[in-house]
Amino acid sequence: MNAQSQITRAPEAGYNFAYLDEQTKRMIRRGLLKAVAVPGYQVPFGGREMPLPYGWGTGGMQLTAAILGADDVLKVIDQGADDTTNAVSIRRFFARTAGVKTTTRTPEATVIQTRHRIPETPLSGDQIMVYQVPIPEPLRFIEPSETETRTMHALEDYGVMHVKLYEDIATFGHIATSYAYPVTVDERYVMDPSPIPKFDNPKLHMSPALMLFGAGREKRLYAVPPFTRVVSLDFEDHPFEIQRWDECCAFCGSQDSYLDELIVDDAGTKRFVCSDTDYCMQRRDLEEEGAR
Amino acid sequence: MYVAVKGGERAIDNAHLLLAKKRRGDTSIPELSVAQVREQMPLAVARVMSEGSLYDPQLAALAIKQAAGDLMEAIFLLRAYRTTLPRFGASAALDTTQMQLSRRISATFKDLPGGQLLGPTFDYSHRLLDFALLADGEQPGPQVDPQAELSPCPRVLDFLADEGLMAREFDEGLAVPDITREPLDFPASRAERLQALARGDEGFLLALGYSTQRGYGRNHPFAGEIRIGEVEVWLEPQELGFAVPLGDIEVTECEMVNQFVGGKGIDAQFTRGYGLAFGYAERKAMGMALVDRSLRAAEYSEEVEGPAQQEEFVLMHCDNVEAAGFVSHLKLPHYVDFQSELELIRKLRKQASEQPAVEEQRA
Amino acid sequence: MNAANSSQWLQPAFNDPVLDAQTSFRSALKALAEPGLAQPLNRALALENLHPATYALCLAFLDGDTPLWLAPCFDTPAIRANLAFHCGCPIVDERELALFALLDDSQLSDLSDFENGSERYPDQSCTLLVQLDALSTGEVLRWRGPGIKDVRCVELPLPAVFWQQRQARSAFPRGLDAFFAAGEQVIGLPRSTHVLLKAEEAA
Repeated sequence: MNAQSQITRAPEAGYNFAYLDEQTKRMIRRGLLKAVAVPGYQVPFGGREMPLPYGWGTGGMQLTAAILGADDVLKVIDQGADDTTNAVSIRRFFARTAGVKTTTRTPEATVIQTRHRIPETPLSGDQIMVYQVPIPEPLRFIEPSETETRTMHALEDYGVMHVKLYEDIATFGHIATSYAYPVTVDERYVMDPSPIPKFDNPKLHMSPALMLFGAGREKRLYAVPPFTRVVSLDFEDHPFEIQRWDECCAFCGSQDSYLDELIVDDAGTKRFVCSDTDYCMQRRDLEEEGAR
Repeated sequence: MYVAVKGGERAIDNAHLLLAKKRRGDTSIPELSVAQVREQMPLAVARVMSEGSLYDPQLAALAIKQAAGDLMEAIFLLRAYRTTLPRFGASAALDTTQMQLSRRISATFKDLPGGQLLGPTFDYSHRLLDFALLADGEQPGPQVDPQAELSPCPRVLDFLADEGLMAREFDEGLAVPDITREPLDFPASRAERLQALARGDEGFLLALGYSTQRGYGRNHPFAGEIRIGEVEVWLEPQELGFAVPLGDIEVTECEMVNQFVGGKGIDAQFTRGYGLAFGYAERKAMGMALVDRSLRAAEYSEEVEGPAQQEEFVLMHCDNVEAAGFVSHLKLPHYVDFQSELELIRKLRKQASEQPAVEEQRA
Repeated sequence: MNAANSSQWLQPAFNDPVLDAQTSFRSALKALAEPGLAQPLNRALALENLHPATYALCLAFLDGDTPLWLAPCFDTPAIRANLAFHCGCPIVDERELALFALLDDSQLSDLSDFENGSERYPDQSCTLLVQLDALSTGEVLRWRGPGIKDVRCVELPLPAVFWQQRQARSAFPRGLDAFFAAGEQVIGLPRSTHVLLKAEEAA
């Protein structure tokens, strides 16, 4: 897939611009304002049924639909890649219903909808990240009741979360959470950063880009404004660390990007490649240019 | 080199074409029309309308055809369509005492004003495959007396209420919230609960209702009344100031008579559970009524001991479009997160294998 | 006033109701995400004494689900008629019921009755839309918090009493969020922003 911007066809007749009706967009937009005003707090919103299944990005899609304008350039990634089927399907949905320009190049995008990754290329202040979130409540696996977790957030009572992480250390010698690793936003709310690998957590801290999170099935949205302190939970004797690989990317040789592990033959031989396909492609293009 | 699930646009297009082919089946057999589905699978249409929250037999039939008979998929199609529709207003409450009944039974009184009306039902059919249906025979139906008229059928539970034996339900005149516009909050109002249950999965509600009968939050139900028929829908537009009829819809209503409450100076009274569904949908309405009553545990100061009494558990998990979506999303690639887990589990194992050596050294 | 004689007051709203609402919202979103930084907001025309930016905020945010409290100077037949026609927002007399309040600088000395949310639902709070004559003729104050890399100096011409009122209504996560509009520009002030007042700086 070539990494050039493409102007897509005009929006499909018979649909609202970006699918949602204006009243629904306004409802989501008002929710987004509150989400920005209270960073990390989960705002309940009247999530609508989207023509894609719940769990496949309906929350992210509703936010994208509410913010997207005619001049935006949209990038959609799933697992860091632009060409995974779900990313293709969502990008196509907005190309059809909003007629916006789409791109695979991170720096060219004004809105990036993502599932499970933050691009390796640093983001800018003119970009908005939209995260697809399955379970927005970081305390959900400790306390299944919404009534209870809401009270815990209200009282800033996050003791159970620390207990859970500490139990991990007692059992395994490490915090056994490797993705959807909880963070504290601006020293107040504990937030689920969506199921990104903890490798990506540091990218949330003081990012110049606005981060919006949408959970369609759970009907919650939340936000991290630009330049906001986002700290991964840890302990003094067990500081937060990110994943590292002994290998480098088999395509571009990157030693500091998040790698996907591939099994390449029946003997179980492994190779590692960048999960961020655009980042990998740009590095390879640069190398080629250098070689010329 | 093997490249993971990176199909892209062509793969998606082809998947759509293959699905269309699968749906059509053998092309030497005439294609099923939407009208045929609508007229000859009315119970499937009813379920799709109820759980799809949209009364439109034609579109429900279209959804069933498009979904190749997968009713959950059809419900999802109808819901996604419903979302895009503008709202003109809220109808007046349905007056089900004025129903054109096609069926009406009570398990609590042998006879009562209006009588028992068996109507079309599977209940007393012997479940033997009818091979006559293999041949395309016309079913004439029973002889009908065009002069026959139903006598009025007042609600069974109202007789009990008149006698003071049944807790009355009051319309508090509050605006009815719409759970498709505003997210549920807990504790939910009864109006919100009933809406969620009306959209809820029939199988889920049936199983939960069943669990109360087996002792997980028992509340001694009797099928007080089940009525199926056509009821008129009225709307009062603001600018008119008076109500106008919009048309008739078919509904199934079930009112359960449940165990009594009282004591401490209050006279003992029966309680009730309520179920309502579009079309002919008896099982759904009964399951809903059982679960509605279970969820009133807090109202009657009952101890919550079964899953069917746990409001958050029931309401957050009864929607099959939500459930199916989230379960099916496991099919999406998760290799970034899985890679995280791989890295972690290898690290933990490596450390565990090194640890004994450390301890030996210490010793 | 009834529908029959209010039509004489009606003026056009957004040229393109979909795209102008989106553009205006994005300006407002950016204004709130980067507090103190003025954003352009020029997709509406002035409506009587409502500046283009103020009117654009109304058109972008308000509808039948958003009760609005209207300051006396904006409570005119033309503004009422146009808000009713283009937004359909109910106009309420009780400040407690308002999700949005349209204010001018004469209304900033008492914010006590506007809803500032609860600990459990801090989002259920009123958003203030404040129209000023300008956005940069006031005393220089230093703003810190989410959306501000280090410190931002902002010169909103606001009376000292506004800052006292804001402080009084603030117990994070509870608090009031505000947009300040003048001409064709808007500045956002979410509750999360810490504004260093002169007295604090000296201390």
